[in-house]
Amino acid sequence: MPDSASHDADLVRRARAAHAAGDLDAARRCAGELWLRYQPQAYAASRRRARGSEADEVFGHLQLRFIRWVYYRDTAPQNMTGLLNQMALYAYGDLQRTEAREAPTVEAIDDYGDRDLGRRGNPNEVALNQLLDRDLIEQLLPVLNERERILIDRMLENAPDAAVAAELGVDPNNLHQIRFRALKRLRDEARTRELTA
Amino acid sequence: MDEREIQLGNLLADALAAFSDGRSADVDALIDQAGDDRAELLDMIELALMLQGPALPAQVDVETIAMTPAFDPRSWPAILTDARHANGLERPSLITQLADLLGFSSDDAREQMRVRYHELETGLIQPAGVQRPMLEALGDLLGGIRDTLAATRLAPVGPLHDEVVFNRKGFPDVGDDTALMLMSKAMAPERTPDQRAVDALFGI
Repeated sequence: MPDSASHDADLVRRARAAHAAGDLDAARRCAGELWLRYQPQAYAASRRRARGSEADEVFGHLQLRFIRWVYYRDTAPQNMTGLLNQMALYAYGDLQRTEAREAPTVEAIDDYGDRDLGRRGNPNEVALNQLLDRDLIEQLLPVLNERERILIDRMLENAPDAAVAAELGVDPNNLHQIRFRALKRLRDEARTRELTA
Repeated sequence: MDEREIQLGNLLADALAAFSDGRSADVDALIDQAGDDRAELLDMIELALMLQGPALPAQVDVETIAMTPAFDPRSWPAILTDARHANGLERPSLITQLADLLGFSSDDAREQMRVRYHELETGLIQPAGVQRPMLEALGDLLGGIRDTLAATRLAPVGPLHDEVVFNRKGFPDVGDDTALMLMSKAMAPERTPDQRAVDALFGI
């Protein structure tokens, strides 16, 4: 299995090539696989913007935007979670415009500001969007203690909780709290770096 | 470790398990339980999902979702044209049925419907502005494609259709008010209420 980033890039490249060649079924399959890979992230991103039925609508618009991005844009996938958060922000704007009976402009549909991804929104979201990139997480690991670092390493390896708890010698129930604290430390460090950058 | 972190840690674990088991809908209740710490919990969920890496969907799930309307790569001009042909409908027949379904009986309304539908099918009107009753009527008349039309409203409209012909209506630059006067005379006549109602349905 190739690494995640190259597999994502390959799916996007194949979807766009198939779309351009008129092989619409192949384009749909590639876009569908990429969407399913990040559907939980999209769900969480939509819940950050709204609640209840409105969050479901944001999720629906976000999916449309994601698919259009795959088919029609020429940028490579990077920091997919940050990209989804940006799209959720725009998707929420779709709903606001719809309520105002105002059609979105082409620019509003199509521009995610890829080059400055994560540079919009409030400072906390900016820091989080930048942190939501696996390539950057390594730089933040030094803020963790040994136990937390092992836990994060095992998350990166997708190790089951029971195995990680055994390795760390903690009750599996305590693992949840250690994980929460470790993630919080990473986020707070990202915020600090963003504010001092 | 305080009680709040214990609770949030457990909610995080439950949310990750729900995503892993394909129970996304259950996550809403978990997020709600975080109360004022909702944003904090969402931060941690996103971080944890990122660390875990993307999901590895089963091929059968990929095939299923790929065939849902949202993944249709075509834009409205292609979808409308394909569906009309598939249903053996000529445009005049479709316009008549569309007008009947939407309750327009006057000649000026039907003529406006013809003009606007032509513009929609040839890519001169952005589908994003088309109103729900028009979308649903088109979807029903064109073989039950409501969901496809709704899911592709935001798709960029591609190159203009071959049928589009631009009339040349230029005015000489005479450097005085003559051009404005000519343009004023050339302006479209006031639309009737029925024409305005039709335009509104097309988002104009």
